[in-house]
Amino acid sequence: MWHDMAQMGDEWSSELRKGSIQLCMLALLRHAPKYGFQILKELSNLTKGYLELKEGTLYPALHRLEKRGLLKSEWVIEGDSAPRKYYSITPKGRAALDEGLDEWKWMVDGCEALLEAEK
Amino acid sequence: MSDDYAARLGRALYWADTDLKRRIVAEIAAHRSEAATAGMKRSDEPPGVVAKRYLQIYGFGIAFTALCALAGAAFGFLSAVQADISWLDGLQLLSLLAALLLTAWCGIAGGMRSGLAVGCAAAVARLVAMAVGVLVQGYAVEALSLALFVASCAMVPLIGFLGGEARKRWGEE
Repeated sequence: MWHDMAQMGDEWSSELRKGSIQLCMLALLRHAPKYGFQILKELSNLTKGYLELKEGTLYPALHRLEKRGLLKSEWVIEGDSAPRKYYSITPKGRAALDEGLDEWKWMVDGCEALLEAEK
Repeated sequence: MSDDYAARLGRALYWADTDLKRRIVAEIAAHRSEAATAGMKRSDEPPGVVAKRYLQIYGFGIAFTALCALAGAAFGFLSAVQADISWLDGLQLLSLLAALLLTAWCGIAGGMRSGLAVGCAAAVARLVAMAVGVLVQGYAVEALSLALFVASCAMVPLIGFLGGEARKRWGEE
């Protein structure tokens, strides 16, 4: 029983994370370009540790968004530090983010209404 | 970099073209170097698992696809080669099976472009082998057998196409 509940918890977590990672990445890049390490830290901090990704998950996800034309990237050398690859949102990415946020708001409002009604 | 993770990732990206591999490895190496400087824990995910995620995005590179197409052509040629040897049927069947499996794998793992390239290479090589047998070595082939043979050749790229389609569908889920 406990084992089943723990497994359910993992499933919820995995599914919810999967659905929110791309949206959160686009939202994070809405106002300014950021590099991978910075995105990783901010995703973790701003989601209170919920989206704590490994680099092997983060970078392929960024590449996927870039390949779909939602992000673009460029290597930047700042002072004496090592080069960093900055990601920025494209107009297509901005449109996708707006669409995603509408969908997200609808889902959250709807689910909260249901959970409240069935309390 | 203090660890050899990036080098191991580079080896796991054997299917990628040099430029893409270089960009992926440089990015991960820069990240790990920065994480080490900041005293953060670095991921110890197996490089093969990470490489697979990139493979799902990019598919096989041109060089690796060409290598697979070469192997597909060799299998395709052997699957239709004509010779007076007792175990020819077995050789042809095994080679055809190998060509089909290779084509399907390239379509599923490497993408539609790779599947079609390998399938076409195998099909053309089969046709060439048959043409050599008929026109140069003088083997006789009935019209019906020839039609069936040509149809079987067309099946090979189709397998590559279907593999590529399956990859797309699975990727969307």
